[in-house]
Parts: sequence; structure tokens; C-alpha cells
Amino acid sequence: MIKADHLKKVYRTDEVETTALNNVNLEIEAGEFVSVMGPSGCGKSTLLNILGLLDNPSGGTYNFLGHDVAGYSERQRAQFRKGNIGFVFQSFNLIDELTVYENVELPLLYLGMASAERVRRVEETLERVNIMHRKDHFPQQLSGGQQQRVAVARAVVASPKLILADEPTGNLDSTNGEEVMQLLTEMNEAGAAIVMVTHSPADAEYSHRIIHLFDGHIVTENFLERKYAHA
Amino acid sequence: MWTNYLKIALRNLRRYRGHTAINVAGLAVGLACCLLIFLFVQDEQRYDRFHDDAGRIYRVVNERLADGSATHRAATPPAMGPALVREFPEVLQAARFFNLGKTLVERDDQQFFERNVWIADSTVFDLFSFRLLQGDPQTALVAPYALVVSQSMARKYFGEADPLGQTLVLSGRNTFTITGVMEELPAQSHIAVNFLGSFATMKDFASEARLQNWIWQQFYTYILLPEGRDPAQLEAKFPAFIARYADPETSTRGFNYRTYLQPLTAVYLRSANLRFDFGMRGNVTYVYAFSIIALFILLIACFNFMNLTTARSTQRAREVGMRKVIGAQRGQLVRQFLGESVLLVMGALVLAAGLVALALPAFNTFTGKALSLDPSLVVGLVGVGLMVGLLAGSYPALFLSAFRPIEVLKGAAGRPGGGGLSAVRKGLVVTQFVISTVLIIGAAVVFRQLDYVQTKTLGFDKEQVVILPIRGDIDDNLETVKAELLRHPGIVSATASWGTPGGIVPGDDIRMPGSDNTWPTNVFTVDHDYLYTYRMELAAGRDFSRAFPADTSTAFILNETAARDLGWSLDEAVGQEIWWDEWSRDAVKKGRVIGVVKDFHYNSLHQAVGPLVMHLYPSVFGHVSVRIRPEETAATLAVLEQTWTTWAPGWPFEYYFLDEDLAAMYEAEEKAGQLAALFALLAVVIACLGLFGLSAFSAEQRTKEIGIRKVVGASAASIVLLLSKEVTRLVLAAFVVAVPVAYFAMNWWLDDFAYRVEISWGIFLMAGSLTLAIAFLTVGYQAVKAALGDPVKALRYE
Repeated sequence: MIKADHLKKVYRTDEVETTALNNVNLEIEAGEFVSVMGPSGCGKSTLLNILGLLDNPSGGTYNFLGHDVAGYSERQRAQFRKGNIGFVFQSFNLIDELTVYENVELPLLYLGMASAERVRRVEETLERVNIMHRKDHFPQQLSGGQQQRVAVARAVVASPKLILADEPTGNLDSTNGEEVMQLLTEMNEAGAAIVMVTHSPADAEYSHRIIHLFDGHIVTENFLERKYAHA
Repeated sequence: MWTNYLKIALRNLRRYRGHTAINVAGLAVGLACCLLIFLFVQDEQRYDRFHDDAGRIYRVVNERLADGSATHRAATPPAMGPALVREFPEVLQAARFFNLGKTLVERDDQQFFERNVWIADSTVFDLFSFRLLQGDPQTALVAPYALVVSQSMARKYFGEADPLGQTLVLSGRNTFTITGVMEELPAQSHIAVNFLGSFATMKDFASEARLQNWIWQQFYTYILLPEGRDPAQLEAKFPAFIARYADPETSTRGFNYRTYLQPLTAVYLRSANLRFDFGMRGNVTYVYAFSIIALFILLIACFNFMNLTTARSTQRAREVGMRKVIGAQRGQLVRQFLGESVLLVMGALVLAAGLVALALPAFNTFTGKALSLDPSLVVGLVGVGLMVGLLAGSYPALFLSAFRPIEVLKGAAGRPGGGGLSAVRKGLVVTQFVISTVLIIGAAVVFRQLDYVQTKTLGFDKEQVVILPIRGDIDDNLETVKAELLRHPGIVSATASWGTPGGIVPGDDIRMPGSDNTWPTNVFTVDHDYLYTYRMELAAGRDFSRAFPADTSTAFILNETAARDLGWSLDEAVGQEIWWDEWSRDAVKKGRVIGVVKDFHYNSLHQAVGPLVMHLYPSVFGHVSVRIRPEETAATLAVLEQTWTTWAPGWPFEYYFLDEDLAAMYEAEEKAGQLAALFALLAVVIACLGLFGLSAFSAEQRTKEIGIRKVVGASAASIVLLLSKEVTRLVLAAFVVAVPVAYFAMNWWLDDFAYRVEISWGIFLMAGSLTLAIAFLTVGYQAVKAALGDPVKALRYE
């Protein structure tokens, strides 16, 4: 599903040039669950942003679902993201002025989905993450764990092929963190590939493969025993 | 999707109430100002458009040329109208108006002085959309002594009775029969009509020969051209026409004129250069000035919106980032934010309409108009709301939609480095203060000029002078009346004249001995006590004196300008011989100059003092001017009234104070000045409202910085200084730009006065300090609040 070759990302300011990613080669198959680990500043988030089409690589090729997307314009990337990629962030990034229901509905609005279908999908997804009873609440009225469940619901409501999670449990206590990991696993088992950046070895255990990054390089790749459903 | 946009917009507006209030209040006040000005300007431009043929009616006006000088006159000779119809087939109709001035109108025991009394051709009903409620427009003004009255006058004199066929006596001698009742004219008519007498009556006022003449210019002539006819084609034929008809007569008097046409719809606003005009007048300069002010105020309000919205962008950054991550295109975000600003502006517009409704009664009293919020304005208002919303929302929409999702979702964007203002925001603030400063300087210059005009030494003492018209038997018993008045200790002196400062200024001619060429000048006929009563000073020679009986028939006094224009020094002038053609007689008054009076301002200070000749010429006086002592004015006025009743029984007592009358000449400027000051103030208030919001934001952004500074020992004063420094710089930059702009604009306005102030540095300094002080106060509040805050809290907050 994803094939990246010799990915490179260089950040330039007036005085400094920083290489965030250097010659990264990566393949991810449909339905796979991959964790990316490494110390701060090793390029994990940069990799995630490029995989998620939020940013373009400085060099190398990136093939996503058969499309060569490395040179896509911002407009094309936005178009491609829509419905194909879901995001879960450490800080949830829910929109404060929208209710739980409305936050989850947002991706479907941008897909131009008909109203009745939207209602069905949002409610189904809220049931899946077990937050239906809070659908008319605003984010500030929820606990961190509940907020992240809403964020997961928003990421999966459009049934994307790929979910990208950037330290999804970073702001949560262990109980809530575990719940979120369970959810992600369920989503993965339902067919979505997941790439998750994490500092937590425990969370990484949920995945099929762990990639270790250091100074912009992939240093090790470990396959875990758990096999993914659609292999 | 739009429901989603609307929901989020409304929830944001509610959540940041303070910010919303500042934004909406600024916009509402700005829009209300614009709306008021728009109503005013629209009304000014609507004059005379109610006539069905407004686009085809022209007023005939003249440029009178004599001795290389030219005056433009609204009035034409009586022969002009009929000659135009005879000569040019494209002149379909012509109508002449002759103003009877303030006229005594009587019916039984009712008697009132009325204005807007005209003699007019019967063709007025063919040209103008004057609608008769009673009577036949074809015949109403045909017979001599036929009179059409306005609806209100009909009610005033006849109540519920049928006015047709009834009679009214005008000026105590002419009995007119009512032949028509005319519907009241809209306020937007440059001619106001209370009474219209038939032109056939004119022959009793002037001889047939005089009505055929080309010199007597006191008739307002209007013509009707065919649909689509270019008036320039007709104007091109005028020189030959004038050469044939008028020149033979006027050239013997040493002048000629150039005739041209003025569109009816331009008469009200564009007659500033025309003299001898009876019509109501607006001033197109003020229409332009206020339109510009309205635009400026709107810009300031829009800039506020832009500044505050972009300053507060951090609050929307996450939303923008998330929407983009989900797949929103930039265009969609731009539409969303433009929609929000349009929504806000619409809200402000509703509020503005409310403000205008509240302000209209006072505004109407002030401007003397009857403006109202017409429901038909709604479409226009929605259009304006849309336009302003798009204009004000454009920059914020582009700014917000440009956020890069990676950065905002990490919380890095929307945070200007160091908490200062971005270059664009600085530019907007500077522009706001440039506009505010220009408006303040403008208002100050207007007031300075008006003060100058009202306190300028006029060459006579305008205080404590009461002027009464000559009525009844006063004329025949002038000396007795004067003697009677002087017996009262409250009265200092009294004089009779035809010609008063700020009042009647008769235009006339004199001749040099033996020459046929006339020399146009103003000629005042006075009595012996004129200079004394007005406290005018002599520059050479002597005053009229009863000790020289010949003064009555052979003495003239010139003003300094007349002496200079005639090529004489002050001393040379005394003793020179000049001739004056006596009115309506075949006689020439031949006399010598006995004195030169210092120039005095008998016209408004818009006009330079022109040449003036004074002479004694009994029994053609119009007014008695009485100088009274300042004490017990009421008692003195009672004496005046008593004397009036004795000598003019049956005439309502009339008088006016000279100083008040002179002040009225500058009423338009005074009102314009006050309005400009008001709008300047509002502009500054709106700009400060924005600055207040912006400085609150800036202080908030710098909470951590301020906290750290205080922890390492900064004093509160130094923090206040730190926060005010940027605003000071911006206001000063604005000042530098505003000074030349205001200087040129206000010099242009002042050029309209023959006597004017110079724009002093004091005014600029005042405006600069005022703007700076207001800006300081605005920012100071936030700065002091931030400086006095608890640093520990500030640091914890971050």
C-alpha cells in the first residue's frame, strides 16, 4: 500500500540546515500495524507527516496506493488525504466549538456525503468507540481519554485505508491509554493500516512491526509475533 | 457544510464576547456614520429630480464681463426667455420667475410677511411638475393679478373654505385673485413656492419697454429642450444670439455677457459661483467631503476588523489545521471565513440601522432635513453588508487559511514572534491613525477659520446694531422718527440706508465725466449718520455733513478698493468728479468725492471687498440701522416697537440684530465644521477601539515575557513603557504621513475664502498630541494591567 524509497527531508533556515530524514526506505502493506520509535528529534514525526501527505519529502519517492505522491501540490495532497488517511494526535486537536458529534461528522462533510448516510456513519462510529452517550457534549466537558476516543472516531469515520497516530496515548493515564490502544487495534483488525509514533514500548507491543529511527535513519526493524488479519 | 460553518461562527462569537463586542461595536458605529452620511448625500443629490422632465430643463445663466472682470449671475434680463423661444425651435418652452422678496400678504384682518413669493410665466406648469390640486394649469397664470397659492398657504389664509376666486392683498396695494392651489413641493426643490403671481401682472410693476430690456438682470429663466438634445449645441449658438439682441444695449453701458445653460439637476449643488441667486443652495464640496469622510470611517472600521481577527488567529489555528488535515481545500476555508465576516457585518449593520434610527431626529434638526430610513434601503444595505464583509474579511480569510497544519497542530503558528504586530497589521494601524489625524486637523482648521471669520475686524462694529425695514409712514418721516428714537437713552444713533453689511448690497454703475462707459460698483445710498452709526473709519477726506448742504446732491464717498481700482491714491481720490445715472429718471447726478472710507466687509468673507460708492440720496432707503446700548436691550427693543407702531401702524414689527445676521452667513460652514468634528471624533473612537483590542491581545501574548522581566527586576513603569513604545512609534509615523495630506486638503478648502487663516504648526502639534494622548490612554490601560499583574501567575499561565 505504501512504498517509500530513499526518503529525505531537509529543513533549511537562514543559518542552519537540518536533515530530519535521510535515506529512509519503507514499505507498509494494507492492514499492517507499524510502530515507529526513537528518541526525540530522530525524525519520527517528520516521517509521519510525509506518510500522511501533510508535507512533501525533499528527496526520494513515495508511492501511496499506486500513486506517486511525492511531488503533489498542496491542493492534490488535501484531495488525496480526504477519505484515505485518518489522523490521531497526542493533543487530540478536537475543535472546541464543535460537539462530539460535529467533530466526528466533519470529515464526512468535506467528503460531501449525504445527510442520512452521515448520521448513520457518525452514530455507528460513536457506538464503536463507546462515546455515543456524550455526543452532544463539547470537548472541554470530556476527560482526556474520552477526547482521544472522539479523535479516534473522527480518524476512522470515513473508513480510511491508513490511520496515522502521533503518540496517541502521550497525554493519557495508563487506563485510558490502554483503552485507546484497544480501539486502534480494533480499527486495525477491521482493515485499516496504522502507523503509530510512540515512546511507549508497551503501546508498541500492540503492533506487528516496530521501526527504530535514529538521526533520520531506520536503524532496526523488528517483526512481532502477532500477525495481522489481512496478511 | 454551511450549517457547520454557521454553528462554529456563532459559537466563536459567543465564546470571545469581548472581542466580538469590540468588533461589532466598531463596525456598527462606522456603518452608522456611513449610513447617516449616505442619507445626507443622497438627499442633497436628489434635488429637483422629482420633475418629470428634470433631465431636459435648463436654467439660463450669464457671465457678465466688464473691464476684464467677470461675475457669474443666476439672473437674466426679462427679454431673454421669450427671445430664446422665438429664435430657437429646439427651445420648446421658457418660463421666467421674478422674486418679490419678503412680501406682506393680507386677507381681512390676517396679515403676514411671506417669503417665496414669485411672479411667473404661465408656462411654469408646462416645464415643471408643479401639480395643481385646484384650478386649471392652462389658465391659472394667464390673467393679470391671478395668484396660485401653495396648499399650506391656502390652509393658512382660507382654512377649510374654498380658496378659488377669493382674494389676497400683496404689499398693501395689489389685490390678487386665487386661481389655483398647488400641491406642496418636495423639500428637495431649489425653488420654494408659497405664491405664484401671473406674469401679466408685471406690467404694473415695470413699463413695457423695461420688460423688453437686456440690461435689467433680475429674472430666473428656465427652458425645456427636446429629449436627448445636447445643450452644448444650443449654447454654441448663444454668442451670435447675444450679439444680436443684448450687445447693442449692454455695450453702451460698458459690459456684455456670455450666456450658458445649467442643468436643472445641477442648480442646487453647483451654483456656488453664481451671484444674485434666490434658490436654495447646497454645496457640492461638502457632499464630496462627507462622502470621503464616510469612506474613511468605513475603512477604519474594516481595518479594525482585519487587525482584531488576524490578531486572534491563534484561537482558530487548531481548527484550520484540523480542517486541512481532514482534507479541506484552502478555497473552502477562505469561503468559510469570508462567510463569518459577512455574518458579523450583517449583525453590525442591524445594530447600525438601530443607531441611525436613534440619531436621525437630532441629525435632522441639525441639518434641517427630513431624512428617514426607507425600507427600500434594505436591498442596498444588504449589498453594502456583503461588500464590507468581503472587504474586511478578505485579509483575515487569506491569513487564516494559509496556516500550515503541521505547525498549527504542534501549536507553533499564529504566534507572532515577540508578541509584536505583524507588518501588515502595523500598516493598517498606521493608516487608521493617518485618517484620524487628518480628520482632526481638518476639523481644527475649519473651527480656526470660522473663529477668524467671526472675530475678524470687519471695518465696522457689528455688535449692538438692530436693523428694521422701512414700512408704512417711516419713509416719509425719517428724520422725525430718528429724532424720536434718539430721545431714548438706550439708543446711541440711527441711520437710514439702501445697503447694509451682510444684507442688501445694491449693484450699480458710475461713470467718469463725459464718458458713456459705465464702471460697475456697489452703490449704497445712505444718510448723514451712516458712518457714525456703523463706526466706520475714514482713510481720507471727510464724512457727509449737514454743515455742507450741497452734500445732499453732489457728494460721494468711496471705499479704499474703489479708489485704488479707479487708479487714485487716497488723497488723489478726494475731489475727483464722478457721475451716477439716477434710478428710473433721465438725470445724472454729477458730484465729487469728499472722502474715502476704510474698506469694510459688506459681503461674507468668502468674497474679497469690492469697490463701493456711498452717497446721500433721500427717500430710497430700505432699512433703518439703530445702534443701541448693551444695557437693557429688552427695554430698548420695546421702545423700537412702540415707535414702529406709531409710524407703521398695521405692519407687524420686524427687526434683526446685525451680528446674528452676519453669523448666519457662515452657518453652512459652521454646521459642516461641527459635523466634520463629530465624525472625526467617531473615527478616532473607532480606531481606538481597535487599538484597545489589539493592545489587549499584545499584552496577553507577552504575559510570559512580562513575567520574566518582572522576576529579574523590571519596574512596572518600565513595563508600561515597553508596551507603549510600539504604539507611540506607529502614531508618530501616522502623524508624519498625515501632516502633508491635511495641509494640502485644508489649504484647498481655505482657498474658497478671500480672507483666511494660515494653517499654523500649532494645529498640527495639537492634533498630533491629541492622537498620541488618546492612543496612550487606550494602550495604557492594558499596559498598566499587564505591568501590575502577578509574575508568578503569568509564568504558570504559560
